[in-house]
Amino acid sequence: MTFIIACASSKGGCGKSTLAVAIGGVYASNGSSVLLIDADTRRRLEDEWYNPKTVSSNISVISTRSEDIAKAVEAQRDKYDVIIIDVEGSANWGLAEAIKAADFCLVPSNVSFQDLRDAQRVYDHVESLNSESKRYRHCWIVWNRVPPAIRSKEMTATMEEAVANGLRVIGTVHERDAYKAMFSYQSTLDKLRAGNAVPSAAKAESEIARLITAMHDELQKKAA
Amino acid sequence: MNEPMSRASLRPPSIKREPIEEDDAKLTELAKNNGFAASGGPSSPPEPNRAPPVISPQGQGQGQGQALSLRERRPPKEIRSVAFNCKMKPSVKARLDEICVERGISQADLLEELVAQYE
Ligand SMILES: Nc1ncnc2c1ncn2[C@@H]1O[C@H](COP(=O)(O)OP(=O)(O)O)[C@@H](O)[C@H]1O
Ligand SMILES: [Mg+2]
Repeated sequence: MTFIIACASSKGGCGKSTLAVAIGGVYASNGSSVLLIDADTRRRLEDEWYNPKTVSSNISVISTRSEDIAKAVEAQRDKYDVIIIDVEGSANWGLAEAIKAADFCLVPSNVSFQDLRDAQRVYDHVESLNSESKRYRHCWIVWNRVPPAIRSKEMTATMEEAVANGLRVIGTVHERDAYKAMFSYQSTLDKLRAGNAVPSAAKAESEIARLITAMHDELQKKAA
Repeated sequence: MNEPMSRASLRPPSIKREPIEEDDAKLTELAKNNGFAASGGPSSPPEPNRAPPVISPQGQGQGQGQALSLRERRPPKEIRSVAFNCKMKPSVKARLDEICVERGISQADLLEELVAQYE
């Protein structure tokens, strides 16, 4: 049965599309079939990133309107191992629909209070959905664009405070060229790593693999 | 170096999904109440992901990630290195260089960050 992930945030530019492509790429390079559903009206995944010549045949991309997300998921379910839904950055129907369809909501958040507020809002919505719905949806925050070398005091403080306040953080994605390069080269991390073409791709791939394993662990814990 | 984890753990789990009757109207109402009804605006502000290679004269690595030619992404060598006034193991020097290339910044930038951190 298909594992459905939503990259969910009402904040534009927090890294939803980046995360969707990175995760999809790691799943695909490990043998899973992946469908990316692009529900952003700008169709960046389909128009700018996807290129059948450079992207693995394990990955497909379709674009839908926000109001058609549920229909698209229903129609494509079970044809793929993983479906990843990417939405546009606002608190609109698309986001609500993506959350509704998902097993797992990943909320990328930069380490700033503004981003965290948006993340918290999505998190709260999923919680209230869980209390009403017969199906449980996971919702976890992913720190994004964390500098790999030195963190400022504010940043460290914000991260610690967020966790102390009960925000559920599942992993960290660092600021790396490789994530941008996926779009520049219409590619995925495994390919950028090959031949050390982009120096940070190997590390990016490892941290995304860790994130995926962490998701699987949470699913297992809940199922047990 | 950092090999990705074993393939097995990266296979998605099988999610059991018995058809369940969801009260769709109720869930929709909930989304509305939680403020998810407004129609959307555009997503991320346009960051020039595919701009041609930018090599700033100061070598400050402003063009991080945007260069299409991988070679040119490195800041020029003379600006990249800072003459640290101390003996340093070659492995440490190499690591410093790696961090700088990874982040598209010069060693001078890195030093500035370091100083800011401990100020
Ligand atoms: N971890 C990261 N490292 C480097 N750049 C990143 C990272 N995450 C996002 N970005 C950059 O930030 C910008 C916005 O990211 P994007 O994934 O398009 O956000 P969203 O889809 O949420 O609007 C893009 O230019 C992208 O390349
Ligand atoms: Mg996007």
